[in-house]
Amino acid sequence: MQNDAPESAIEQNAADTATDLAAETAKQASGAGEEVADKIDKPAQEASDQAVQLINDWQDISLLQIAGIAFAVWLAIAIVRRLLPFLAERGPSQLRLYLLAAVPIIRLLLMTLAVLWIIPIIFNVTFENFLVIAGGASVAIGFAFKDYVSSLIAGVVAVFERPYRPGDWVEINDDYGEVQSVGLRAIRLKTAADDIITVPHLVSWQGNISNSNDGAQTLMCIADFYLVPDHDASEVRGALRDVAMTSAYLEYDKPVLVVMSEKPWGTHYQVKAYPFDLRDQFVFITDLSVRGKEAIAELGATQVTSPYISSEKKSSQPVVTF
Amino acid sequence: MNRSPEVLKFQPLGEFTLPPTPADETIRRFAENIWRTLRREKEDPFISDDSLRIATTRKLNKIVPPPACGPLLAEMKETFSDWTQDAEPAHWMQLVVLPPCDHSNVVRSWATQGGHVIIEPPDRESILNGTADVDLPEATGDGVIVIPRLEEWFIRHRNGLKLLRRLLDHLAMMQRHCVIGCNSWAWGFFEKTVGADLVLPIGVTLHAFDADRLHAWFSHLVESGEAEGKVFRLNKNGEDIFRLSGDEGSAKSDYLMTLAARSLGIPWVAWHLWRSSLRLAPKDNNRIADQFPGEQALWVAELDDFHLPKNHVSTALLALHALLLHHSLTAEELSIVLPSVDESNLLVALLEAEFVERDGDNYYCYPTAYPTIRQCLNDAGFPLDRL
Repeated sequence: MQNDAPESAIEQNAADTATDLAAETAKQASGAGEEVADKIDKPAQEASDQAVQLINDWQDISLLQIAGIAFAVWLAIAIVRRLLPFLAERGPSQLRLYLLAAVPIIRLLLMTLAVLWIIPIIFNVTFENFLVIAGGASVAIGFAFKDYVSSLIAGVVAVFERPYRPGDWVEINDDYGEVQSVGLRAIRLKTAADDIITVPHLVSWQGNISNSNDGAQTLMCIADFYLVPDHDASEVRGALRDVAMTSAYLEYDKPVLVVMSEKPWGTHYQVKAYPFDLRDQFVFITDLSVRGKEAIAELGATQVTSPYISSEKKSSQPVVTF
Repeated sequence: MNRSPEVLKFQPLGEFTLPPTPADETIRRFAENIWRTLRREKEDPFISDDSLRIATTRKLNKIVPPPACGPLLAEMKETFSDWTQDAEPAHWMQLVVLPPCDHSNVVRSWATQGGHVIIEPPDRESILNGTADVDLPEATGDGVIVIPRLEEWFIRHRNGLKLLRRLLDHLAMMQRHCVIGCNSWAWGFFEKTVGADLVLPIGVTLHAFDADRLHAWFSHLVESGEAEGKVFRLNKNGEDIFRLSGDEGSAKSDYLMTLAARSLGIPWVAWHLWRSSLRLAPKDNNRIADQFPGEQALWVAELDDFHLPKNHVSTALLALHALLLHHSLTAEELSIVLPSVDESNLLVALLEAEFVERDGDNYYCYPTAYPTIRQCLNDAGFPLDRL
């Protein structure tokens, strides 16, 4: 029986040791698991913090740098907008339209450069932030600035699609004039009456734009003549052709046409020709009209006029017009 | 200086090549306008232009005698000598298209020298009124008939083309030798308005006068004139403009190359520009006497630049273009062919600026101003001549 007691003590000690080892092992295993979990969660937490931070710390944003970039780009655009039209008006006419057309393209490139430069300075650029900003901007644009932004986008499209360029003569919504400038939101037309008309780019989504020269140095001019049908059409046609051929403004490399059509009220002649410089279009048409009238009178033909009714007669008699 | 000049034949129209401009001249002219406004002190020339004396026309005629057409008469003779002797040529007509401002009238001079029949144009008033009763030559016969200036047979007016059309119709039926001269500006206009290129054959024109051709011609002129034995030196550096480079025997001075480029290869323009830049040496100038002892020199000033009156450029260009087309016009005729009615003093201004010269009632473009006129017309988009 004495031999049994020591054996049980040994067993007891062995059991205690095993229990301690197991507890230590479990403790170590638990510590290792926590370290691993910490290692896994830290970057996710940092990323989450960064995503929440849309804008960089104020200490990191250099307002001076932003102002410098904005001023430099503004100055460059201002110089381009003045210098290129200045050179275009004083240089060879062949270069005029190219120089004018370069203004909006250069401005767009400069502004894109400035935006791409400034955005990383202000914003914390991540994919999540992009989605956040895009979502917010969409709501704001959708409610408040829809037309404005649409015009801006149309302006960018217009730079590449080129329905109009500076120097072109276009007709938009019954307004005919020379494109003076193509801005971010709108274009400025200068009419023959020296009026300045501002037309938003938005109209290019919605309406027709008639471009008379489409980047070319010249455009077709038409002088109209309306004659009493009783005349020698062949002679008149020849005389009107010579009128166009001998104009001081004529471009030789373009055709000259005299088109005739019979109307119920008379004969309609159209002299179609091109001046060598599109800026001469109105004096060219005037020249054709003045000398065309002389030629018609010389041939004994008579121009049709709308009957003139004095104001006294207007009240008592019906007016016949066509 | 004693190279025998080569007699060239005229070349087909369209093959005229402008003489090259020296690179430094191109850069100089480009930068000059900017630099002129910034520069306060001028370069110190060997001898200033102010101290030189301008030669009178009489003196110039002795130093550099006319005509201004140089060897062109000989070249024209060489070109047509076989054709005129041919009893049944491939083409009965020959068209000679020459640059404008040809006051020496090359085609007429050639016809006179050859004893050919010259057909004179009616005056422009009768062309305009349709009263021109012109005796056109017989369609068949012997001998060569010559129309020296086709541009004198029209006026740019709706009634001014009828006679020209009649003449071309008549010429199309000709079965005899006929030479027609026309200036390059008028020819471009006739091709467009009356289809003259359909009636007349492909024209011939001169070879451009480059530096070597100018050297040969001017050397010959100097030798035959009163200036024989004199040296022509640039006033800016004292360089002899006729000095030849040793190896190639071509002109060494850039002056003649610049002159050839500035004159667009046109001999009478170069001749007038050269004459206008000639100066007589001042009396008792020690620097010249020390540098070139015992030498008689004539001085060549820098070529002048011309500038149009700033406020009336467009109307001035219309007038100059009309003059180039017609070769010459009176003031009344000019007012008929121009659209503007409010520029009564324009001709006076152009005369003062030496763009236009007057002979009796007729106004012409001045040959020295022609390169500037052509450049201005090109810049303004006018249709240009084609050689």
